[in-house]
Amino acid sequence: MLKALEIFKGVYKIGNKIFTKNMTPGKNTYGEELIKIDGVEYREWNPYRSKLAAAIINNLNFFPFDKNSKVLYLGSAEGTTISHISDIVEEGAIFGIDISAKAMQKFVYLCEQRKNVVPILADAEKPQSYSDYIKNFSIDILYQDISQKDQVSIFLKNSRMYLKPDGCGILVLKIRSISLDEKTEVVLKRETAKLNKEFEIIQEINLEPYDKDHYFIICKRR
Amino acid sequence: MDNFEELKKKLLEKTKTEVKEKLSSDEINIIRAYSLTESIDATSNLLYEQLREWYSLYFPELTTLIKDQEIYLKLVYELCTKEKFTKEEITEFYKNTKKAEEIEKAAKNSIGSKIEEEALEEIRLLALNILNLKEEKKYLTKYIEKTTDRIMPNTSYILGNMLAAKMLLKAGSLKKLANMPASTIQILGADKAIFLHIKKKTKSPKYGIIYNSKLIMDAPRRQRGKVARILANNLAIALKVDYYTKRFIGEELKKRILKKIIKLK
Repeated sequence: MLKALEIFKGVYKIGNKIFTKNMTPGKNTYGEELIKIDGVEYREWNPYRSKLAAAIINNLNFFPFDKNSKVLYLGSAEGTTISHISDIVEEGAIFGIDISAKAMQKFVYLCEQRKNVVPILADAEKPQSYSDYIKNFSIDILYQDISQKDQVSIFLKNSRMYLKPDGCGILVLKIRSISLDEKTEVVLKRETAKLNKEFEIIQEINLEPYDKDHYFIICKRR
Repeated sequence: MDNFEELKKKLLEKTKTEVKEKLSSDEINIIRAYSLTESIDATSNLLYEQLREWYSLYFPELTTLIKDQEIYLKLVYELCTKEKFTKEEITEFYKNTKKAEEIEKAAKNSIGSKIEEEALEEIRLLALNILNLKEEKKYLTKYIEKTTDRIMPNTSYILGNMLAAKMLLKAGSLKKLANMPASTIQILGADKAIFLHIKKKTKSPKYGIIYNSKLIMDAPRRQRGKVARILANNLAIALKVDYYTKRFIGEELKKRILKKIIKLK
C-alpha cells in the first residue's frame, strides 16, 4: 500500500517521487501522472520540467511556501512550476509575470482554472510597470526563473520594490545565459557576491542531473 | 480577499486582450508561414528520396535520365507503368522530344524488376502527395512575398522576400530587427560560428543568413566579406525605415550598395 509522506508543507513523497495535492481533481496541466490515495488526489511533480522540484529532490533544506504565502513569480512561462505552487499555497496568491505572449496563452488557461493564480503580461525588467496591481499586497516570496544576462539585478530591482522586509527570495541562475565562456564556479561566485549585499544566502543547489549549469539559490533579506 | 478576486478578474481580462493583440500581427503570420516552407522543403525532399529509391527498383533508367524533381514526380504519377512511357505521353509533361525518345527506349529495354500493381499504386499516391506539398509551398511563398512587400518593403527589395522572412524568423519580430546594429545583422544566423569564435578564438564569421543574397553570391570569393558588410550596413537602415515609417527608399539604398561594391573593385 502506498503512503503519502509529507516532506514539506504541501509536498508529499510517494515512493521515490514527489507530489502535490491536486487542487483541480481529475485534471492535469502538462501530462503529469495523477495518483489517488485515501480519497485524496496527488499530482506528480516532474523534476525535469520544474526546477523547484529538482531542488527539492537535490536536498533543499528550507521551504518557505505555506498555505497563505503571497508569491511574485517572474518568468512564469507556461505555468508548470506555478501549477504546483498553486497547489501548495491554497489560500495565498501567485502573480505570474512573463513577457512572452505565446507562453501567456497557455498560462491564462491555467489561471482560469486556479483561483489563486493571476497572469500579468509585462517585462520583469521594468517592475514599476506592474506596480499598480501588486503594491497593495505584501509579497512573502519572490521567485525568479528567467534566462537573462542581468537576472540578478532584475531580481534585486523587484525585491526592493515588492518583497516584504523579512521576505524570502528564490532565484534560478542559468549560468550559460549569463556568460558563455567563463567557468561555472567563476560566474556563480560573482553573481552571488552581487546578491550578498542585500540578501543572506541560505542554500545553493546544483540542479544536475535535471538541468545542466543551473543553480537554485534560496536567500533571505538581511 | 475580495480585493484579490476583483484584481484577478480584471487582470485576467486585461492579459487576455493583450495576448490577443500581440499575437495577431502580420509578422507572426510571416514567421509561421516561412517556418512552414522550410519544413515542407525538408519533408518533401525526404519523401522524394524514398520514392526514387522505391520506383527505381521498377524503372531504374528514369532516375538517371531525369534529375528534376517535379518532372520526375509528374511522370511517375501520370504514367506510372512502363508501358505508358511512350513519346507522345511523355512530351505532354516534359517538353523535350529528344529526351522523351530516350526515355521511351529505356522503358522498352528496362532492366527493372517486376513489381505488383498494388505497390505501384502506393508509389503513385506518394508521388501525388509530394506534388501537393510542393503546390502548398508555392502558395505559401506567394503569401510571404505579398506580406513582406507590405510590412518590410525596403528590406525585401534589397534582400529578397524569402530572405527577409528568414531574418524575421531568426530575430522574432520586426522591432527586434530594427533595433539591431549592422554588425549583428551581418552575422545573424551564424550562431555556431560566432560562439565558437568567442569561446575558442576561431576566425569570426563574415556572414549569416545574408550569405544567400544575390549580391554576395555574385561577388568574387575574396570580396564577399566586404560586400556582406556593405549590405548589412544598408539593411540596418532599411529595417529601421520599415519599422518606423514604411517609406520606400529601397531603390536609393540599392543604388548606394551597388556603387560601393563597384568601388571595391
